[in-house]
Amino acid sequence: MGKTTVAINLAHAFARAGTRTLLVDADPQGSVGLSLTRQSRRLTGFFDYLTDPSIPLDRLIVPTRMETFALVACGQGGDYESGSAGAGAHLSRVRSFLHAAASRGYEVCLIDTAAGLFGVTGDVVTACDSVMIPQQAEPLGIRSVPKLLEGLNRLRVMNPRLSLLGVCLTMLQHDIPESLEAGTALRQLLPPGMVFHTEIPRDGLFVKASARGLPVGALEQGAPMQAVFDQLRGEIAAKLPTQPRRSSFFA
Amino acid sequence: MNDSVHAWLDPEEVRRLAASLADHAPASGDPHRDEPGFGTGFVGFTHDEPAPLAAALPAPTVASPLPERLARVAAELSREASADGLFAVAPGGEVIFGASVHPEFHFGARALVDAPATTPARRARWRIGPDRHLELIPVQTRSGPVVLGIVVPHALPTVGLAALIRQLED
Repeated sequence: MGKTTVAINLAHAFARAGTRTLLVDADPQGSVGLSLTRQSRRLTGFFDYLTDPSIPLDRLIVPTRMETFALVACGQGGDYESGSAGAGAHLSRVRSFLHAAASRGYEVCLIDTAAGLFGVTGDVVTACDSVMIPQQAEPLGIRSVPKLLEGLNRLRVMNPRLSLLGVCLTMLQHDIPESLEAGTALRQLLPPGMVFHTEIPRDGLFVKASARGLPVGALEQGAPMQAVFDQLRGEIAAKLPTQPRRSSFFA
Repeated sequence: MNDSVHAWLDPEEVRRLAASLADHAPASGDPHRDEPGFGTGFVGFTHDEPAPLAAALPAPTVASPLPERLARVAAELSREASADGLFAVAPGGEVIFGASVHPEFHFGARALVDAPATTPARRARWRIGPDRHLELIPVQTRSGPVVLGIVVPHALPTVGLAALIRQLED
């Protein structure tokens, strides 16, 4: 669905713009960490924080070469991989994590979650200020949008202040009519302004970036794609209030 | 229309769900817009097994005004389940019973009672302290839907809860 790719490169765009950004891997598969650092599987991370109240946030922070950009790996999956933790069981720890991140001066905390709205992902979305939906531009993905919206509405009952930043079309393939049509169909279905103008195309550069453990904008040929994420960052920033926010990503 | 998408879902349903998500900001002048929501004492949800009530709740009597029935249920829960108060919230956020009872949790009942029609309100149980739970229970009364908020040391069992709800429904 492109959510990890969007999370990594969007976080990079925010950091390049001077925003102190924390990118958190809350997917037990550890896609963010695996995309950016070889040591990700050995790092203490987000799921360790959820299960062990003695772990401070500082132990989780992985700095990057950019002063404004830091990471938190997923840590050890534990029972989160099997989904046995149950929805809401760790909401308090998630909120504690976000408070700690804000108190350390992070202005934006981008959380890449697992797919679906159950378990820890539901807790993350419930605890955040806003949510963004990366949606793959293909018919099957678009058909699942109603379930997604229904799930978000249910979570909003528990967090009435949760806002939907918007839906970002990803993996768009301009050479495949069905992909373009799926994107058009989504724009027709949703209210004006709910689908970002910025669309993320499917591109081999993302594979190359992943192979080198870098955001796409750090590649020699990455400038045009970097501009796409800069544009997306601008659209999101226009919807955010001036005070620090905590945003979650999921698909 | 795009048959590969529109033929597979109900566009009107999608638009309703999306519209309810887009309409989230409390209106200016809304007396509840600055409610703190989850406070620092909020612990999270619980999956504890409910403890049985000491005795079954009495069968419903001849229908009486809703406030009277709420008062009776509150008294019975206090006696049978050591409940620490009951409040009830109607659509629009009005607290129709127990306005001074745990006002810090009224926001939860408001969110449930005003949930969009596409996402019907469901019972929710929050652990709000080491031995305290907040039960939020949607009830359909003759006067319309209300959400009850009950603070108890243990989760209320489903059977006892059904008897409680019958006292309030018509």
